[in-house]
Amino acid sequence: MLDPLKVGFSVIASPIQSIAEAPYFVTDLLIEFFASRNKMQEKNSNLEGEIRRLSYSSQRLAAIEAENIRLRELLGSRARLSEDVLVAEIVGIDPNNQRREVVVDKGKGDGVRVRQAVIDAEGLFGQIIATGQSNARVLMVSDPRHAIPIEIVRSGFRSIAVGTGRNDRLDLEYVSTTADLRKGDLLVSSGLGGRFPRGYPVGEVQSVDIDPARSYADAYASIRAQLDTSRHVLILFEGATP
Amino acid sequence: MNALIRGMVVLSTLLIGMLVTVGHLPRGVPDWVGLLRPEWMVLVCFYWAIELPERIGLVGVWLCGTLVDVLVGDAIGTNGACLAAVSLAGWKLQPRVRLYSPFQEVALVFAMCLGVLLIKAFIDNLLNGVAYSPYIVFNAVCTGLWWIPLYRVLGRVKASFYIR
Repeated sequence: MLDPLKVGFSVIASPIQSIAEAPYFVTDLLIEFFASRNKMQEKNSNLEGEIRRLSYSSQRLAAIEAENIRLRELLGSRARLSEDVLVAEIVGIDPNNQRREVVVDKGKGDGVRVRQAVIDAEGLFGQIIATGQSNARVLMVSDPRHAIPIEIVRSGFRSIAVGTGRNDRLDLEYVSTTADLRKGDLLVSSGLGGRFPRGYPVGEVQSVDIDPARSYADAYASIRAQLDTSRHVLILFEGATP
Repeated sequence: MNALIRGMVVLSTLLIGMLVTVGHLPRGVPDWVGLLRPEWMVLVCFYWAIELPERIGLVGVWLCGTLVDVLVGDAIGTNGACLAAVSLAGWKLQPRVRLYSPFQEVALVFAMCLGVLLIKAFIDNLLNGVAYSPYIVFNAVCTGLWWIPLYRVLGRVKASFYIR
């Protein structure tokens, strides 16, 4: 009901947001500008290495994808579409300590809609919760209001990872004391609930504390996505595959 | 200096209040520094409410609050209602606040800010299921402590531009 009001105010709010975030980006620019030559060379060589590694991985993935499509055809199921993503830059960060939200520079005008999943280079980043004409608000996985259905790659055990307000930790809910879960296990989105596509890395199990006197174990995981440092994120459209 | 410029100065302080409310700390600054951030808009609105009670209108304050809601992503109306309540308190208490000692003023701002933060937390809890956090009290204390320096800065601004 209040959406038109919100849209109207967001037109006025947009320049204020840009000005408010200016010091943040100016600091970034200054840090980059004054970075030493050696540091840049080191970064460059690391990036070249990363490119080679990714190129190798993408070649392998292409072969696996082709095989996957063939197998799906054999099974008679429709092949999933190739990656359908939109690159967005983070232009604002909510300074509220109780929340973990960022604003990205793509909005309704670019086809972005509420509930779309957002990832960065490392893993699942969050989801779109509000859209303006040229920007959108992303709720990060670490926000206490955020929960995501996950599964453990090794055992297939399913749980729900809930944000804690800290950018390095997710709490795992409803982990039974007999669950097959151990430190270092990789968590990926399970796709249950339909909000997030299946198979995107979310984090790694850091601790499992089993108390036989309680119904559920206390377990928490780290977050794969670089929530503090990522500048660019990918907004996933229906049909995107990990 | 004409009334328009003086009005613009008051509006600018509100705008700066919004900017520092939304502005993010530079990269590399630890997260805990963010905890020292006060409720800037509560401070600015309260200041103008006690200094210019006949000039600051409820509708204007409410609109400012709504803009803050959009900027920080709160439910529409949350900050509008809270800032309007703060301004109303400022108008009612204005004759008394002038006689208060700095310590009493800080205590009043703390109590008021705690009320505002509890209302916001209540709405957040109701709409999003966010648990109440003890940081609310810390945030209110910080806001109270920022009152004296902010009062002096805005006092200078008011005197420099002959705002009465």
